[in-house]
Amino acid sequence: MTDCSNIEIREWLPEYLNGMPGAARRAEVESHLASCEDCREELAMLRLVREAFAPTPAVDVAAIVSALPKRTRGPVMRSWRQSQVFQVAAAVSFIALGGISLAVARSFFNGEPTVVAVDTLRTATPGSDFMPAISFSGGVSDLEDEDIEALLTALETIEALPVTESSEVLMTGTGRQGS
Amino acid sequence: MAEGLTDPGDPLDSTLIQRWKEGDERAATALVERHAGALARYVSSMGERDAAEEVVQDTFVRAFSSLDTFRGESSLRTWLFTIARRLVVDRRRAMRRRREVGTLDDVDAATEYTALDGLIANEARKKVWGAVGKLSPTQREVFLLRVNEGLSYKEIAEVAGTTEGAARVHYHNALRTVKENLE
Repeated sequence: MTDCSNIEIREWLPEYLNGMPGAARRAEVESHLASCEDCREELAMLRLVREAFAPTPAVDVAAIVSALPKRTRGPVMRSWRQSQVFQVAAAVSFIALGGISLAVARSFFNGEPTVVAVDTLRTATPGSDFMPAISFSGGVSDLEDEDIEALLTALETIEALPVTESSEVLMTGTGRQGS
Repeated sequence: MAEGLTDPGDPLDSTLIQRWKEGDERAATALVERHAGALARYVSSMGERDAAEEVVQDTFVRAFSSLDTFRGESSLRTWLFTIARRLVVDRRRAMRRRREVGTLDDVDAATEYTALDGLIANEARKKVWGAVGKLSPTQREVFLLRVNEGLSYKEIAEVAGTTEGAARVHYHNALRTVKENLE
Protein backbone atom coordinates (compact mmCIF):
# COMPACT_ATOMS: atom_id res chain seq x y z
CA MET A 1 0.00 0.00 0.00
CA THR A 2 1.56 3.28 -1.11
CA ASP A 3 0.62 6.82 -0.22
CA CYS A 4 -1.10 9.09 -2.70
CA SER A 5 0.69 12.39 -3.30
CA ASN A 6 -2.58 14.34 -3.03
CA ILE A 7 -2.27 15.29 0.64
CA GLU A 8 -5.38 17.44 0.59
CA ILE A 9 -7.64 14.59 -0.45
CA ARG A 10 -6.00 12.19 2.00
CA GLU A 11 -6.64 14.69 4.80
CA TRP A 12 -10.34 14.63 3.92
CA LEU A 13 -10.71 10.85 4.01
CA PRO A 14 -11.54 10.55 7.73
CA GLU A 15 -14.15 13.30 7.40
CA TYR A 16 -15.49 11.65 4.26
CA LEU A 17 -15.75 8.38 6.15
CA ASN A 18 -17.76 10.12 8.88
CA GLY A 19 -20.00 11.92 6.41
CA MET A 20 -18.85 15.38 7.31
CA PRO A 21 -17.71 17.37 4.26
CA GLY A 22 -20.18 19.46 2.31
CA ALA A 23 -21.64 18.24 -0.97
CA ALA A 24 -19.01 19.95 -3.11
CA ARG A 25 -16.16 18.51 -1.04
CA ARG A 26 -17.70 15.05 -1.13
CA ALA A 27 -17.98 15.22 -4.91
CA GLU A 28 -14.33 16.25 -5.13
CA VAL A 29 -13.22 13.35 -2.92
CA GLU A 30 -15.37 10.86 -4.82
CA SER A 31 -14.02 12.08 -8.14
CA HIS A 32 -10.48 11.54 -6.89
CA LEU A 33 -11.30 8.12 -5.42
CA ALA A 34 -12.64 7.01 -8.78
CA SER A 35 -9.19 7.37 -10.29
CA CYS A 36 -6.84 6.72 -7.33
CA GLU A 37 -6.28 3.17 -6.11
CA ASP A 38 -4.00 4.28 -3.25
CA CYS A 39 -6.69 6.47 -1.77
CA ARG A 40 -9.32 3.76 -2.21
CA GLU A 41 -7.07 1.36 -0.29
CA GLU A 42 -6.43 3.93 2.40
CA LEU A 43 -10.15 4.63 2.74
CA ALA A 44 -10.85 0.88 2.95
CA MET A 45 -8.30 0.57 5.71
CA LEU A 46 -9.79 3.49 7.63
CA ARG A 47 -13.24 1.95 7.22
CA LEU A 48 -11.90 -1.33 8.59
CA VAL A 49 -10.52 0.47 11.63
CA ARG A 50 -13.83 2.23 12.17
CA GLU A 51 -15.77 -1.02 11.93
CA ALA A 52 -13.35 -2.80 14.24
CA PHE A 53 -14.21 -0.28 16.93
CA ALA A 54 -17.87 -0.11 16.00
CA PRO A 55 -19.20 -2.39 18.75
CA THR A 56 -20.04 0.43 21.11
CA PRO A 57 -20.48 -0.37 24.78
CA ALA A 58 -24.13 -0.38 25.76
CA VAL A 59 -25.30 2.94 27.10
CA ASP A 60 -28.61 3.39 28.91
CA VAL A 61 -29.79 6.78 27.70
CA ALA A 62 -32.79 6.84 30.07
CA ALA A 63 -30.55 6.18 33.08
CA ILE A 64 -28.19 8.96 32.04
CA VAL A 65 -31.04 11.42 31.53
CA SER A 66 -32.56 10.57 34.91
CA ALA A 67 -29.21 11.29 36.57
CA LEU A 68 -28.97 14.75 35.02
CA PRO A 69 -29.67 17.84 37.14
CA LYS A 70 -33.30 18.89 36.78
CA ARG A 71 -34.16 22.12 35.10
CA THR A 72 -37.73 23.23 35.77
CA ARG A 73 -37.54 26.72 34.40
CA GLY A 74 -35.13 28.85 32.49
CA PRO A 75 -32.66 31.23 34.10
CA VAL A 76 -34.30 34.26 32.55
CA MET A 77 -37.68 33.46 34.11
CA ARG A 78 -36.10 32.70 37.48
CA SER A 79 -34.10 35.87 37.38
CA TRP A 80 -37.24 37.85 36.60
CA ARG A 81 -39.12 36.19 39.44
CA GLN A 82 -36.28 36.81 41.85
CA SER A 83 -36.24 40.41 40.77
CA GLN A 84 -40.01 40.70 41.27
CA VAL A 85 -39.82 39.25 44.78
CA PHE A 86 -37.08 41.69 45.62
CA GLN A 87 -39.14 44.59 44.30
CA VAL A 88 -42.20 43.58 46.32
CA ALA A 89 -40.08 43.18 49.46
CA ALA A 90 -38.52 46.59 48.90
CA ALA A 91 -41.94 48.19 48.38
CA VAL A 92 -43.35 46.62 51.55
CA SER A 93 -40.32 47.78 53.53
CA PHE A 94 -40.63 51.28 52.13
CA ILE A 95 -44.33 51.49 52.98
CA ALA A 96 -43.75 50.12 56.47
CA LEU A 97 -40.95 52.57 57.18
CA GLY A 98 -43.02 55.43 55.78
CA GLY A 99 -45.96 54.44 57.98
CA ILE A 100 -43.81 54.29 61.08
CA SER A 101 -42.27 57.67 60.30
CA LEU A 102 -45.70 59.18 59.75
CA ALA A 103 -47.00 57.73 63.01
CA VAL A 104 -44.03 59.08 64.94
CA ALA A 105 -44.41 62.54 63.39
CA ARG A 106 -48.14 62.62 64.02
CA SER A 107 -47.87 61.54 67.59
CA PHE A 108 -45.12 64.08 68.15
CA PHE A 109 -47.13 66.99 66.85
CA ASN A 110 -50.46 65.82 68.33
CA GLY A 111 -49.05 65.13 71.78
CA GLU A 112 -49.93 61.47 71.89
CA PRO A 113 -49.16 60.00 75.30
CA THR A 114 -47.02 57.27 73.87
CA VAL A 115 -44.49 59.72 72.61
CA VAL A 116 -41.57 60.40 74.80
CA ALA A 117 -41.15 64.06 74.12
CA VAL A 118 -38.44 66.34 75.25
CA ASP A 119 -39.75 67.64 78.55
CA THR A 120 -37.37 70.34 79.13
CA LEU A 121 -34.84 71.96 76.94
CA ARG A 122 -32.13 73.57 78.93
CA THR A 123 -29.20 75.27 77.38
CA ALA A 124 -26.02 76.03 79.21
CA THR A 125 -23.12 78.02 78.09
CA PRO A 126 -19.84 78.73 79.88
CA GLY A 127 -20.36 81.50 82.30
CA SER A 128 -24.03 81.11 82.67
CA ASP A 129 -25.30 77.97 84.23
CA PHE A 130 -28.80 78.32 83.06
CA MET A 131 -30.34 79.80 80.01
CA PRO A 132 -34.00 80.38 79.45
CA ALA A 133 -35.49 76.98 79.48
CA ILE A 134 -38.68 75.66 78.14
CA SER A 135 -40.61 72.61 78.86
CA PHE A 136 -43.62 71.07 77.32
CA SER A 137 -45.64 67.99 77.35
CA GLY A 138 -48.03 66.87 74.73
CA GLY A 139 -47.94 68.58 71.37
CA VAL A 140 -46.85 71.94 70.16
CA SER A 141 -50.48 73.00 69.86
CA ASP A 142 -50.80 72.73 73.65
CA LEU A 143 -48.18 75.40 74.31
CA GLU A 144 -49.10 78.89 75.45
CA ASP A 145 -47.84 81.91 73.55
CA GLU A 146 -45.12 82.60 76.10
CA ASP A 147 -43.95 79.03 75.95
CA ILE A 148 -43.70 79.19 72.18
CA GLU A 149 -41.77 82.43 72.43
CA ALA A 150 -39.42 80.84 74.95
CA LEU A 151 -39.01 77.85 72.67
CA LEU A 152 -38.09 80.03 69.71
CA THR A 153 -35.61 81.98 71.83
CA ALA A 154 -34.04 78.78 73.01
CA LEU A 155 -33.85 77.45 69.45
CA GLU A 156 -32.06 80.60 68.33
CA THR A 157 -29.56 80.11 71.12
CA ILE A 158 -29.01 76.50 70.10
CA GLU A 159 -28.48 77.40 66.47
CA ALA A 160 -25.94 80.04 67.47
CA LEU A 161 -23.77 77.51 69.24
CA PRO A 162 -20.91 75.88 67.36
CA VAL A 163 -21.98 72.49 66.13
CA THR A 164 -18.78 70.94 67.39
CA GLU A 165 -19.70 71.80 70.91
CA SER A 166 -22.88 69.90 71.13
CA SER A 167 -22.04 68.78 74.66
CA GLU A 168 -22.83 72.25 75.89
CA VAL A 169 -26.41 71.81 74.88
CA LEU A 170 -28.06 69.86 77.61
CA MET A 171 -31.41 68.27 77.46
CA THR A 172 -32.65 67.31 80.86
CA GLY A 173 -35.86 66.08 82.30
CA THR A 174 -36.13 68.74 84.98
CA GLY A 175 -38.52 71.50 84.16
CA ARG A 176 -42.07 72.41 84.17
CA GLN A 177 -44.40 69.55 83.65
CA GLY A 178 -47.86 70.09 82.42
CA SER A 179 -48.05 73.75 83.19
CA MET B 1 -24.63 9.07 9.03
CA ALA B 2 -22.12 8.97 11.85
CA GLU B 3 -23.18 9.45 15.41
CA GLY B 4 -22.77 12.91 16.77
CA LEU B 5 -23.76 14.35 13.44
CA THR B 6 -27.14 15.81 12.77
CA ASP B 7 -29.51 15.63 9.87
CA PRO B 8 -30.24 19.02 8.34
CA GLY B 9 -33.73 18.90 9.86
CA ASP B 10 -32.48 18.16 13.38
CA PRO B 11 -32.09 21.00 15.87
CA LEU B 12 -28.55 22.14 16.54
CA ASP B 13 -26.87 21.35 19.84
CA SER B 14 -27.06 25.03 20.78
CA THR B 15 -30.83 25.01 20.17
CA LEU B 16 -31.29 21.93 22.33
CA ILE B 17 -29.16 23.45 25.09
CA GLN B 18 -31.34 26.54 25.07
CA ARG B 19 -34.50 24.43 25.20
CA TRP B 20 -33.14 22.47 28.14
CA LYS B 21 -32.31 25.71 29.95
CA GLU B 22 -35.94 26.69 29.45
CA GLY B 23 -37.07 23.50 31.15
CA ASP B 24 -37.53 21.11 28.19
CA GLU B 25 -36.35 17.72 29.48
CA ARG B 26 -36.75 16.16 26.04
CA ALA B 27 -33.91 18.36 24.82
CA ALA B 28 -31.62 16.65 27.33
CA THR B 29 -32.68 13.24 26.04
CA ALA B 30 -32.00 14.32 22.47
CA LEU B 31 -28.51 15.55 23.38
CA VAL B 32 -27.67 12.35 25.26
CA GLU B 33 -28.95 10.19 22.40
CA ARG B 34 -26.90 12.20 19.94
CA HIS B 35 -23.56 12.01 21.74
CA ALA B 36 -23.61 9.06 24.16
CA GLY B 37 -22.58 6.43 21.62
CA ALA B 38 -19.54 8.33 20.36
CA LEU B 39 -18.48 9.09 23.92
CA ALA B 40 -18.81 5.44 24.93
CA ARG B 41 -16.75 4.39 21.92
CA TYR B 42 -14.10 6.98 22.76
CA VAL B 43 -13.93 5.97 26.43
CA SER B 44 -13.75 2.35 25.38
CA SER B 45 -10.90 3.08 22.97
CA MET B 46 -9.07 4.70 25.88
CA GLY B 47 -9.09 1.30 27.58
CA GLU B 48 -12.06 1.86 29.88
CA ARG B 49 -14.60 -0.38 28.18
CA ASP B 50 -15.93 -1.84 31.41
CA ALA B 51 -16.43 1.62 32.90
CA ALA B 52 -17.63 3.24 29.68
CA GLU B 53 -21.26 3.63 30.73
CA GLU B 54 -20.32 5.05 34.11
CA VAL B 55 -17.85 7.49 32.60
CA VAL B 56 -20.34 8.57 29.94
CA GLN B 57 -22.99 9.19 32.59
CA ASP B 58 -20.55 11.19 34.73
CA THR B 59 -19.58 13.15 31.64
CA PHE B 60 -23.16 14.21 30.96
CA VAL B 61 -23.87 14.98 34.61
CA ARG B 62 -20.82 17.23 34.78
CA ALA B 63 -21.59 18.85 31.48
CA PHE B 64 -25.23 19.58 32.30
CA SER B 65 -24.24 20.90 35.73
CA SER B 66 -22.01 23.43 33.99
CA LEU B 67 -24.05 24.23 30.90
CA ASP B 68 -24.71 27.75 32.19
CA THR B 69 -20.98 28.40 31.97
CA PHE B 70 -20.57 26.72 28.57
CA ARG B 71 -19.66 29.60 26.29
CA GLY B 72 -19.86 27.69 23.05
CA GLU B 73 -16.31 28.56 22.01
CA SER B 74 -15.86 24.91 21.12
CA SER B 75 -18.59 22.54 19.97
CA LEU B 76 -20.59 20.67 22.58
CA ARG B 77 -19.20 17.43 21.20
CA THR B 78 -15.59 18.57 21.69
CA TRP B 79 -16.45 19.77 25.18
CA LEU B 80 -18.01 16.42 26.07
CA PHE B 81 -14.97 14.53 24.79
CA THR B 82 -12.73 16.81 26.84
CA ILE B 83 -14.72 16.11 30.01
CA ALA B 84 -14.76 12.36 29.32
CA ARG B 85 -11.02 12.34 28.76
CA ARG B 86 -10.44 14.15 32.06
CA LEU B 87 -12.63 11.63 33.86
CA VAL B 88 -10.70 8.74 32.34
CA VAL B 89 -7.37 10.28 33.32
CA ASP B 90 -8.62 10.90 36.88
CA ARG B 91 -9.93 7.37 37.06
CA ARG B 92 -6.64 5.92 35.95
CA ARG B 93 -4.69 8.04 38.40
CA ALA B 94 -6.89 6.75 41.18
CA MET B 95 -6.44 3.16 40.00
CA ARG B 96 -2.71 3.62 39.77
CA ARG B 97 -2.57 4.89 43.32
CA ARG B 98 -4.65 1.99 44.55
CA ARG B 99 -2.90 -0.78 42.70
CA GLU B 100 0.56 0.76 42.58
CA VAL B 101 0.95 -0.53 39.08
CA GLY B 102 3.32 0.81 36.48
CA THR B 103 2.64 3.66 34.14
CA LEU B 104 -0.61 4.26 32.36
CA ASP B 105 0.97 3.29 29.09
CA ASP B 106 2.01 -0.08 30.45
CA VAL B 107 -1.53 -0.84 31.54
CA ASP B 108 -2.86 0.04 28.09
CA ALA B 109 -0.40 -1.94 26.10
CA ALA B 110 -0.33 -5.02 28.26
CA THR B 111 -3.93 -5.68 29.09
CA GLU B 112 -6.43 -3.62 27.19
CA TYR B 113 -6.30 -5.13 23.75
CA THR B 114 -5.53 -8.62 24.90
CA ALA B 115 -8.70 -8.57 26.98
CA LEU B 116 -10.71 -7.33 24.04
CA ASP B 117 -9.52 -9.99 21.63
CA GLY B 118 -12.40 -12.22 22.61
CA LEU B 119 -14.89 -9.60 21.59
CA ILE B 120 -13.69 -9.53 18.02
CA ALA B 121 -14.87 -12.49 16.06
CA ASN B 122 -13.67 -11.35 12.68
CA GLU B 123 -10.03 -12.12 11.96
CA ALA B 124 -9.53 -8.93 10.00
CA ARG B 125 -10.83 -6.90 12.90
CA LYS B 126 -8.55 -8.74 15.24
CA LYS B 127 -5.67 -7.75 13.03
CA VAL B 128 -6.79 -4.13 13.14
CA TRP B 129 -6.93 -4.19 16.92
CA GLY B 130 -3.42 -5.61 16.97
CA ALA B 131 -2.16 -2.88 14.64
CA VAL B 132 -3.83 -0.08 16.60
CA GLY B 133 -2.58 -1.63 19.83
CA LYS B 134 0.97 -1.05 18.66
CA LEU B 135 0.48 2.69 18.63
CA SER B 136 1.54 4.88 21.51
CA PRO B 137 -1.40 5.99 23.70
CA THR B 138 -1.30 9.51 22.24
CA GLN B 139 -1.07 8.27 18.65
CA ARG B 140 -3.93 5.88 19.27
CA GLU B 141 -6.13 8.53 20.85
CA VAL B 142 -5.55 11.00 18.02
CA PHE B 143 -5.91 8.35 15.32
CA LEU B 144 -9.19 6.98 16.68
CA LEU B 145 -10.69 10.42 17.32
CA ARG B 146 -9.97 11.23 13.70
CA VAL B 147 -11.01 7.96 12.09
CA ASN B 148 -13.90 6.90 14.34
CA GLU B 149 -15.41 10.27 15.19
CA GLY B 150 -14.24 12.45 12.31
CA LEU B 151 -12.87 15.15 14.60
CA SER B 152 -10.75 17.85 12.99
CA TYR B 153 -7.17 18.43 14.12
CA LYS B 154 -8.35 21.54 15.92
CA GLU B 155 -10.99 19.58 17.84
CA ILE B 156 -8.54 16.80 18.63
CA ALA B 157 -6.05 19.36 19.91
CA GLU B 158 -8.71 20.75 22.28
CA VAL B 159 -9.72 17.33 23.54
CA ALA B 160 -6.22 15.93 23.96
CA GLY B 161 -4.66 19.15 25.20
CA THR B 162 -2.16 19.45 22.38
CA THR B 163 -1.67 21.54 19.25
CA GLU B 164 -3.17 21.14 15.80
CA GLY B 165 0.29 20.57 14.35
CA ALA B 166 1.13 17.90 16.90
CA ALA B 167 -2.23 16.21 16.31
CA ARG B 168 -1.55 16.13 12.57
CA VAL B 169 1.89 14.58 13.10
CA HIS B 170 0.49 11.99 15.51
CA TYR B 171 -2.23 11.07 13.03
CA HIS B 172 0.11 10.57 10.09
CA ASN B 173 2.63 8.60 12.15
CA ALA B 174 -0.21 6.42 13.42
CA LEU B 175 -1.57 5.96 9.91
CA ARG B 176 1.82 4.83 8.65
CA THR B 177 2.26 2.41 11.55
CA VAL B 178 -1.19 0.89 11.13
CA LYS B 179 -0.66 0.53 7.37
CA GLU B 180 2.66 -1.22 7.91
CA ASN B 181 1.15 -3.61 10.43
CA LEU B 182 -1.80 -4.46 8.23
CA GLU B 183 0.23 -5.20 5.11
